Amino acid sequence: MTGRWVNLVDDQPDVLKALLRLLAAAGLPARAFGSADEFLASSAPQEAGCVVLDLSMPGIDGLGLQQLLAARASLLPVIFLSGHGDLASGVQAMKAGASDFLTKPVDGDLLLAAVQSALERNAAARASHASQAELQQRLASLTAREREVLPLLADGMLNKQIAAALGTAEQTIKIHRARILQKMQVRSVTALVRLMEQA
Amino acid sequence: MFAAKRVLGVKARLASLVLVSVIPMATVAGLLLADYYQRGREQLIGSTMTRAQAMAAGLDREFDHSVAALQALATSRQLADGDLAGFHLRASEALTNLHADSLVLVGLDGRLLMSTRRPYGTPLPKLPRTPLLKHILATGQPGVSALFPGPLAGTLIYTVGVPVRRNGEISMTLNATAAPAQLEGLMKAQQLPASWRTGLIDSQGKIAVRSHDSARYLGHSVTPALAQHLAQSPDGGFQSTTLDGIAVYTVYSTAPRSKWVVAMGIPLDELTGGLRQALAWLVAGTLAALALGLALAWRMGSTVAGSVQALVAPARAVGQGELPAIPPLPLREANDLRQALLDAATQLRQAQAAARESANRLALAAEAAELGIWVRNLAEHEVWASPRWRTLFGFQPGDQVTLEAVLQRVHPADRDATRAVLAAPQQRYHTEFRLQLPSGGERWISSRGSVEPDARGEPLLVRGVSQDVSERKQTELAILQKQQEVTLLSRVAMLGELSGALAHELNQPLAAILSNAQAAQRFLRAPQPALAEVEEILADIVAADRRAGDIIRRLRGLFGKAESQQQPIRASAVATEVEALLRNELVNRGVALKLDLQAPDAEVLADRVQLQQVLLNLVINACDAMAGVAPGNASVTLRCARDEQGMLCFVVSDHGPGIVQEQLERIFEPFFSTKEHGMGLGLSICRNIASAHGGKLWAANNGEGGAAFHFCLPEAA
Repeated sequence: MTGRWVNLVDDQPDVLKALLRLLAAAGLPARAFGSADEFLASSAPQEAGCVVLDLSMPGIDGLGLQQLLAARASLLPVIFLSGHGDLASGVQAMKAGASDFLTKPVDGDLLLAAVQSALERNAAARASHASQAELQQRLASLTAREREVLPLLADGMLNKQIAAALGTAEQTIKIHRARILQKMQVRSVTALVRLMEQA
Repeated sequence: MFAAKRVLGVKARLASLVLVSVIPMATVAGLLLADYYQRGREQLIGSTMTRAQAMAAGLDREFDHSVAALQALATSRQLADGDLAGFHLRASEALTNLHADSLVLVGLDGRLLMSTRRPYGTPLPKLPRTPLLKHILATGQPGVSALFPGPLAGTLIYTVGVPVRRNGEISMTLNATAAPAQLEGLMKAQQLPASWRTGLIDSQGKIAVRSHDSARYLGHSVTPALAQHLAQSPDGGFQSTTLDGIAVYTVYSTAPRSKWVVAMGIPLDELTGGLRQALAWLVAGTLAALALGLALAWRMGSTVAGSVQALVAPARAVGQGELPAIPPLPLREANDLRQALLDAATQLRQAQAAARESANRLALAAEAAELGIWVRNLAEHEVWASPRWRTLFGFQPGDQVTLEAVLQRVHPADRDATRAVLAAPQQRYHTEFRLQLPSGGERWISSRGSVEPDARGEPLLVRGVSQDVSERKQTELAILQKQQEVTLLSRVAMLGELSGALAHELNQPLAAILSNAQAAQRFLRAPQPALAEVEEILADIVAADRRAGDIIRRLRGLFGKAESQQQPIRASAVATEVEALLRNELVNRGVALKLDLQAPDAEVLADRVQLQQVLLNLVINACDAMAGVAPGNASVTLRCARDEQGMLCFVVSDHGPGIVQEQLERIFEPFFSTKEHGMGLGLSICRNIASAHGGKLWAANNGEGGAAFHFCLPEAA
């Protein structure tokens, strides 16, 4: 998969350099940022990959950056690296959706495993995000009447029952049903129900 | 009394006073007298000159009288007719009206043609010399001759002659001859003092008339002195001796027409006799005054000297503390002195009694306070010491005490310093040292002394007291040790607070090392290992390891010993170390530390760890003060610069809420804290550290908000 980056954010140049080497040795493309501001100013937050964050940094610290990314609806999973196992920070980070919380010095295998897992999560999230967008687009193409019919259809009601509920002719509902299936690009009501469960 | 040889006694002083009073007066009187006589003499000489001139004029008038009579006769008819016989008769009659002895006619060849001394027709001689005739023929005017021997009279005479003219031509001269005695009347008319020598002298300098012995000196030449003066000036005065041997002052005047001279000699005896007599009286009076004055001075001097000497022995007796009997003295001032001596004797006895009492009390007090007293004679190297002192220093009552013997008992560690103080003592000194007692064991001694100088200001004696201060010393040492322990504990406690941050700090290099090492392992597992990359990694691992080592060394220093060790340290380096130690803590707290190092090379003499302790404390306090400030805005400045007094100052300033004015000093008190969990020891210990380094630590509020702590130390030389 191209365009997938492991982003390292740490104020310690020595640590950054060592982590870059470790990731390079594992064949993972990685890039380093000396501070949260530097990272936010780049295009990295919108791109695919993950971010390895030092918890305590001058200026915006690790938790601060996590919040900012969340506010920008970034899909990047966050792995925290902490100098000391501060339980309170760890809990806060995990609650805010961190992918992992590791302590320095971090074992290479542990870090690489966390990075792999994070990258997969990101890929999944990005994919899910993409299908969601498609579904929304299809839903947007429905007329107001069709949108009224859709939930009743998904609930498994018969045409006759829907026509009764909406006070219209069974024939009309039939036409709506065919249109909805066409617009939502499904062949059966069962497939429609599965699609709606994703929304 | 000891300088009596060179000091004048009262008698000699009074005698010199008399001399000084009388002699200048007498001298001035003598000078005035001499001056007065000089004026009198000049006046007398002046008036004598006037008289001489008047007499000379009288002489000319006398001759003019004869000339007038002769000119009248020369125009007589008999002469005009050539009747000389008739004229002889006529001249003989006229002679009675003239001051002359005879009348003669002289022919142009000098032959006498007629003389009233001889009857007419008697043959008459020719004159051998005719100066007057030549004068009359040359000038056509009458004249007066000098003295010459008269051919007929046979004595010295003079003559007055006029020309006789016939038909406008001089045919002969008519002369009146006279003996000088004819002029005596003129001299007598002057009524000069009998003792004076007066003379009339002819135009050739021969004596014509003289007031004394006139006959004897008739025709004599005047004295060479007068002749010389006459040749120079027609009038004048000078001092000389007369022909008859009398010392005179001579005044002379020449008659203008006849050139005869009047000379007057004032005997010098008369001129100066008065002066000599007056001077004699003056000398006699002066001597009498001196004699009287000296006699009085001697008597008065004897009285004063006697009175003073009578007090010498009693004064010595008073000095030795006796109460002498002194008889009353004949001089009021001496009596005052006598009374003062008696009073002094009484007071001295009282003072001595008081001094004895004071000495007794002092000895009692010294004994009660367990003070050992000693006196060291610097010239003779002897030490006197009280029994208590001997006990303190472990000397037996009979032992001889010397400075060296004392120093031998001083603890070897204190001996050199003590020797330096005692061998060349300052005006006042205080020293403390340990003794090693002969019986074993140690004793702390506090010794105070003061130097007593001799008359020249050189140290003569040292007096002092020594005291056993072992107990106080042990307490002090215990307190010092406790203080050091507390300082260390406070430091350790502070480091405990920082432990998280410090561990994180140490984690950084460890993290770099682990990641680098594992990266290297992976590189090496590759089919074609990138060895250049691995080498670079190993270099980074070494660097990171060193960094970790530095951090641990720094920490070990802070946990180190309690004893203080002062050495010259660069102040800016300490500030940088503190920044490194706090780096992570500051990041965690979201506080930026700004270093402002103005004197990068300045050094202080200090204990490095304690200096770090103070700065760590101050910076952490500043961070605490800004707990309420939004992270990112919080900053602390650590400034290091020289102040106006030349001290090297660290200033830690924040912009928190500042310190309540009343608490600016209280915060340095032990157990005073404004923090919730503060012990209240940090600042108090910091201030102790500042004092121990000869420095100061104080707090102030910044004008623009926040507090500033000033920590100033003397710069190392």
